[in-house]
Amino acid sequence: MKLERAAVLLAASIAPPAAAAAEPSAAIPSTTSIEATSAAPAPEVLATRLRALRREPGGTAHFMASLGLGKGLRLNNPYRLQTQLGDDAASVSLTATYVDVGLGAALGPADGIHHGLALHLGGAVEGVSQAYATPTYLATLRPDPRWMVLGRLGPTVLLSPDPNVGGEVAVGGVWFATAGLGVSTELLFDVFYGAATLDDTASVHPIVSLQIALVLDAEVLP
Amino acid sequence: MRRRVRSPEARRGSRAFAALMLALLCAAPTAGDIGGCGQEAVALDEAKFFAQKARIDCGRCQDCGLSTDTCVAACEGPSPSAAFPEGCLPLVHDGEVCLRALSDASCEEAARFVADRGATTPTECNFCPEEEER
Repeated sequence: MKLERAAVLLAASIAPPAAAAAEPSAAIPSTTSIEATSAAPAPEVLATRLRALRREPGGTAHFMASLGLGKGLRLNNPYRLQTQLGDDAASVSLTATYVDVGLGAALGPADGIHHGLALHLGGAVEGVSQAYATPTYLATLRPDPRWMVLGRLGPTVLLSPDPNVGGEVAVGGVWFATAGLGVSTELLFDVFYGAATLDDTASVHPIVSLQIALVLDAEVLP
Repeated sequence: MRRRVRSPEARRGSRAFAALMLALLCAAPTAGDIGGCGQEAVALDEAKFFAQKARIDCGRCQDCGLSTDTCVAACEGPSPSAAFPEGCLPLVHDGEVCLRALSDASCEEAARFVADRGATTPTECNFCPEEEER
């Protein structure tokens, strides 16, 4: 049946509407002509539909929501924050596990890069209480129906225990189990300038984090 | 969206990737108690710090139902002999980090901090680790 319908569409695209209406059997194979002509809409309608199908895909919008968990590696730790992995304060340390809620929206061509904004909110689920907000630029690309790659860039605002503002770069990917439900993983790099130490007027805190999340994605067509 | 027919190898690859992501789950941006940008290096007041520490220790003992000798001593106030190690110069943020770590510790951790035998100290309160004094 699909082949028959394709044949009808092809005929409508080759022959002018008037000719197709006058001599349907000339454009449609004889084995399918009876069924096709009896079920198909008027050739003018088919031609209009075909022109619409042949049009370049327009822009689409993606709205995303995510819920995830993450953990990071602190590359400098002058205040001996838990959990130290080495013997001294200069060693790499683990940050607290955190929960992250994200919202994002991006616009762009259906088969190209989408640009938009994302807002991530979250906080530590262990140790000292800490909350953050991360409003970022968001870029996404869906090279395959099952996959999406994304990147984010923006400030990270620590809301507690002491307010602070850092910068964040993130890259990640989403694997979609269905068209709108996926699992993402993101690698994040953050830098903060914290309280002064005896050696520095501001302590630098680079942090590499990994987070995994469930992602809901809704695509809106024009 | 048309569903593509995937080979068994591709399906195994997808499952392996999902499993890898889940495995990495326990491995953002919670920087921890790094202080505010612009906070200057000011020496920590010894008397104020130990008074605050005793108050927090006492509070945790009461909240967690602990009754060790360390708890009793904490609730009586700071020890007159409490002092930073010789040559150790902690800053105000060192003190803040330590007190917040004590205050936010779980009861299990608090019990270890105030144990009469084998008590431990959170790394945040170890202002001048031995290896740094050498």
